[in-house]
Amino acid sequence: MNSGREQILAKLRAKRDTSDAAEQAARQRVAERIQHHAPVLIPARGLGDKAELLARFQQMATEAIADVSLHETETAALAAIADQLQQQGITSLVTTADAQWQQHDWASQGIQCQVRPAQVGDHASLTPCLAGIAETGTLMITSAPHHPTTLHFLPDWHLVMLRSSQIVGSYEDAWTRLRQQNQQTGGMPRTVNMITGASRSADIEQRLQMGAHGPKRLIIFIVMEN
Amino acid sequence: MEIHSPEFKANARIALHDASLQKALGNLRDGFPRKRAIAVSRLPEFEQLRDQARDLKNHILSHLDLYLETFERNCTANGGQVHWAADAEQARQQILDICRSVGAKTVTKGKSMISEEINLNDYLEQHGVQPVETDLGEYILQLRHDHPSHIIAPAIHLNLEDVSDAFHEHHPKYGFTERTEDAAELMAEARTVMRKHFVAADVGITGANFLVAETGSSIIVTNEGNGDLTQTLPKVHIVITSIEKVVPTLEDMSLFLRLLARSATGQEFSVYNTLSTGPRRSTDQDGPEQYHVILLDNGRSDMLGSEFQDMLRCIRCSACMNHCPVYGSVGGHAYGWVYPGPMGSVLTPQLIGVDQAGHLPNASTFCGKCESVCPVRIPLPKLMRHWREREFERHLTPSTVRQGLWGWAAFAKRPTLYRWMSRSANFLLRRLARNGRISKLPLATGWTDWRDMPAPQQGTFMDQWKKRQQSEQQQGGLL
Amino acid sequence: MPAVHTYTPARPKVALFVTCLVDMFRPGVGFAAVKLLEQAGYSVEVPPTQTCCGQPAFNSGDRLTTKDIARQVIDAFEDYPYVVGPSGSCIGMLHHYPELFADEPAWQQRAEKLATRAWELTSFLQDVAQFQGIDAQFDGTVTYHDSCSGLRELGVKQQPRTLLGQVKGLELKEMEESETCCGFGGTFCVKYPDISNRMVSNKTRFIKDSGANTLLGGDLGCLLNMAGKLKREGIDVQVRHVAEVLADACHQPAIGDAEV
Repeated sequence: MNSGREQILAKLRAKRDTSDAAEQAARQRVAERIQHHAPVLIPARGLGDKAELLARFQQMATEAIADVSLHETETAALAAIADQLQQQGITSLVTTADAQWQQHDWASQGIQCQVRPAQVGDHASLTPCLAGIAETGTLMITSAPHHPTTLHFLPDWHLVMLRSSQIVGSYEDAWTRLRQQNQQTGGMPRTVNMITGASRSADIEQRLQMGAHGPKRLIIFIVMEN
Repeated sequence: MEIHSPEFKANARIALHDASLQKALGNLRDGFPRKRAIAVSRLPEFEQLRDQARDLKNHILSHLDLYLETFERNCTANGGQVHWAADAEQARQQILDICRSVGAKTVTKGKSMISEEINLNDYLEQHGVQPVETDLGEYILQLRHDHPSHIIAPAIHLNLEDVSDAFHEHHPKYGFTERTEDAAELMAEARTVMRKHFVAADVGITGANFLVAETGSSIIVTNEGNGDLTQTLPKVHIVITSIEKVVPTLEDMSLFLRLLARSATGQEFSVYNTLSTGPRRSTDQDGPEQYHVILLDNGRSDMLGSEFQDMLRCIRCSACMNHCPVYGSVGGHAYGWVYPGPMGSVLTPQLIGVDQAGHLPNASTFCGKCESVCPVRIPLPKLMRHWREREFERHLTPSTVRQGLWGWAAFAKRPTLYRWMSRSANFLLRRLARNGRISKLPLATGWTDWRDMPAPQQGTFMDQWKKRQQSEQQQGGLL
Repeated sequence: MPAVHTYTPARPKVALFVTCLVDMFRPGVGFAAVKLLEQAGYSVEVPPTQTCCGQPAFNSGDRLTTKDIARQVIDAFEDYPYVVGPSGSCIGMLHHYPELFADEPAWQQRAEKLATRAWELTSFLQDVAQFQGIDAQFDGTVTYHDSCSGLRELGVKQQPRTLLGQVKGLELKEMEESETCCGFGGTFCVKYPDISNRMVSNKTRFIKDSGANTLLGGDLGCLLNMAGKLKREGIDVQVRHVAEVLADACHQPAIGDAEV
């Protein structure tokens, strides 16, 4: 294995100037680029005030075939979720660990709420997210001890709670949030999902079909915060 | 896969007469290019992003070993294992070793062109490990013992009926006994069948669109979500990728992500952009216990510093083939190996040898459409021309072409002779013409088999111009 | 004898790069180009040692022959302030010369100087001469094929359309995919004739669907290809080089039409 490593690196090195001064300069350029991780070019649509970004997020997520709704409080959002599940006859919900969600009275609407990784056959999941990215209506969701990744992929419906304060303009803004979170948790999570709309495929005759292997619907509940 | 590139001409002829393929190719021409144009028009910074992406890739390539070492360091720090494979054989062996170390019987696979490049599926099967393709298009192809004809839409050459037939043949054992021609039902079938495989697999293999040196992460970009289930459910996640895919930081990756989906499918963003960093953490409830990254070279380091270096900027978006009139006419299989279209016409000669792939860089009109849509501004026609130069130097160019060129050059370098040749050709062609055109021209049947040759007007320009000058001078002299 | 010229004010000189195909197939395009350049106030000369731009060798990978021919072209044309040709493809080739001489700085400098002075006809008339004096009548509908080299190497797109806008009676009907290659591609059309045929068949369908009765373009290679296919398919569309229309030189039969 190491022979491959040395062979490849030696060939790559042979293609550039490795005299002492050049080598030192090259290493410095690489170290600085990584340390500064400066944005290259953020398109104008990734910029704007809060109201603009909220509107853009809604527009872009909807365009990407997600359902988006606004709610005054998280309690109101949970009530809306329960109503929606009940209307569709869905009786089970899998969620990440969240005290308020578990305290919600799901049972009165005939819904069983469980905290666990998802399994084949699950109908719906509810998860939080780290950020909503306005430029393309994208959710950033990270794995964590009580936040298994399977919740984003196995159930037929994926429901996401997004606080309005989590809406950012660009991918770069979301990386900043991720780095802040990493500082608290001690490093990168195993998985960072950037999700834009529901699962789909156009592999049969280039015609778009929803619900390929991931969720058939992505439903985003935005909780307005001042 | 087996190499059929030397038979490009015969492959192309078959493809041109394949009505079903031609129908399928029509879907491609009417789809991706239109959607890309809309996506590009909605992002005013698109051209500027292309410039930045070209420059950033050039920066990465000139520091490639350093970024790869940084990636390795950070990947390892997060609990990942990095394996370096100088060639396809090493990569296959490393993957098989990992599979055997966990006693793997089946592996699920996300879509990966590198896997095709190293012919991984056949190898695993021969060694007792069953690979299952999970991307819908790839899955259909696996059932049909077929190969991708496009790098992001692998089953683009098939029609609905072909998929119906394949599923009807293979799915009764899963309880699907009725043949359906409803695309939504077909996909629902695949979804149900695939869930069994996702859960049963011991190892999940995916590719990577990029590797992030800063964090030691790999990223996959998909629309179906199959790649995520492939890498989340089994105990082991193996990433098979190549050395030029490394980028410095998450911010740098963002630049390429903004270009990738728009150039590829015309989407603003693909549905799932998933970063993976190491195995599951000790407190995580799901995710793989092992995370391996195979870094494949397979000839790429030879391109660095050569006239083909620009090709290493490629981010595999497929815009070049989506817009290529030759690809649109014959489809991907005609190219005879893994990478079709303009990017394949540059890459394939490097990977399998120009003696095998000689037709590919020649089968282009140099119309330049590919270069005009390439998100990292690879001068594809120029690179194809460089392959033609290599062929010419090595005397691989067909002798008829060489002789024709030699004869033509003998005239073109001697103006007086050239005038005579031009005059003679003008005269002869006019003799052969009827009603202003020639319907059969010896030595140019390639032309006249398909179209008429318009007849020349009488007399060459240079002769007539000379006469006109002489008469003007005479008139001038009389004055 | 020279005395007759002393009364005319000095007109800037343009060297006409005739191109092989115009020389051999359609001298009328060359004379149309001369007429337009003279109307625009230039004095046209035709360097007699010109032959071909070298593109067949260049695109076949024969770099040495290409360089020999490039040197010949540079020798013949470098003393003129402008070099103009009725072909985006051939003029585009002149723009490739500097890359041929990467290891010969003296020649590279001369090649670069030539490239900066080399113009495709319609872009010269529009962008350099800013010519407003088109004096032509054309009663008919035309559609325009954007030849690849001119379009993508030299940025020729609006120039011919703007000039055609000055032609009295002419109506432009754009076809679908006017920027898609016609399948000519120099030696491509004889090396891969059946692929080329598919491409030109797509093209003739778009031309026919445009409803125009004349097809115009700026490169004779593409025009011979499309005219030949239209004739073979029996589609009644006339084909001409754009210079013929701009110079009011449509008395000559269209490309592939019988002489009266």
